[in-house]
Amino acid sequence: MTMLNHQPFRDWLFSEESLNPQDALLFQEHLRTCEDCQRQRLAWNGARHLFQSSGQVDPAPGFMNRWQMRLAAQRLRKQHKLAWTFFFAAAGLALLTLAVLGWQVMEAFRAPQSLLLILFLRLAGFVTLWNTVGDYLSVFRAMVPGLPVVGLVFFTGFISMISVLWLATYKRLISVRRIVE
Amino acid sequence: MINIEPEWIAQAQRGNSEAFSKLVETCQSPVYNLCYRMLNDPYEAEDAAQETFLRAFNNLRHYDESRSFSTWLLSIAAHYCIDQIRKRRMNLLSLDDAVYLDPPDTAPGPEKALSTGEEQKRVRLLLEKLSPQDRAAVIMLYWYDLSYEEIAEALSMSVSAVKSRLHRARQVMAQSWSEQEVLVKTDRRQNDHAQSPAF
Repeated sequence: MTMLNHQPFRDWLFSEESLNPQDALLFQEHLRTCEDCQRQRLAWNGARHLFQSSGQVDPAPGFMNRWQMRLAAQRLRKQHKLAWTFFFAAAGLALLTLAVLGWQVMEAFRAPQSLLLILFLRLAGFVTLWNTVGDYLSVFRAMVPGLPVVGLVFFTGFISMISVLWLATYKRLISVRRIVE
Repeated sequence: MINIEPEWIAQAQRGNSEAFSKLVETCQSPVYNLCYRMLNDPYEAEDAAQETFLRAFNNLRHYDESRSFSTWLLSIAAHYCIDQIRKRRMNLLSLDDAVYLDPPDTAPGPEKALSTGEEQKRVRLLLEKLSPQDRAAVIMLYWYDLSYEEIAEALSMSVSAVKSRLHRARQVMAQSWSEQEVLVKTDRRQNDHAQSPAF
């Protein structure tokens, strides 16, 4: 028998799909005459029988506990990783801020006249503000002559507190009451 | 194949680790068995089975409920084992050099243990001739009775590829079985010769 007409039988030998009656008959006929195919069939049947009889291998006792320990260890590792990620992110941000600040300071030292000018302008601004507030206060004191500065502060605080209390009371009054069943 | 309550899966997906523990308890043997058959080492198999459950736990939200949970688990285990075998090959470690360790399964008596050990060794010799994917397909078919479609889905390949791989694997295993038979007969003949009264 040539290899060409032998090939379909070799394919059927290792295929577990059912053959049509005609092919099955041909295959049986071939098996009776071909020793090589008989050997192959016996070998494969032996291997398949071994698989079917060998059964399932179980893990060593305590698999569940070991898995739970591994899960706990993994969670801990994740937490550590998260903490380190947060730490490095915060450190990176701090370094970036420092770098920006450092760069600005360097720029300022490179051109000190502009820094001094800014400082001077800011100082002048503060002085102007102080004087304006002082003017307003003097006008107010002239209007209320008997009240000292400390008394004025207390009076203002008292008025603010009363306003807050009034607002809170008003909110409670206008809110929808809960109906108790 | 494996009796899993759908309620456990639903609860585990909602973050209930106790429900997932029940799943681990139910599926530990099939998953371990697949890993053991793939890797041929009880310690590596234990590690692979544990890793499989961890991966399943971490990816439970990706689990498609239309699929069988056990097939999904076996798919994770098979892919992990295939990767491990590839890594092992990259590290130039040969399976032939590895010391064969019997699985931790306990047999009732010494004779039974001996025969079980022999049987497991023959299974190992048959499976180690196959490529990792072919081995996974053979294990899924003959130990778990998965259909070609399920195997194809689990191993991310087409049904025709599964059929072709299984066909090739059967040929290789038949060849290997024949070689083993010759060795077994030679061993028996040598033993008989050594035990004969003439010596």
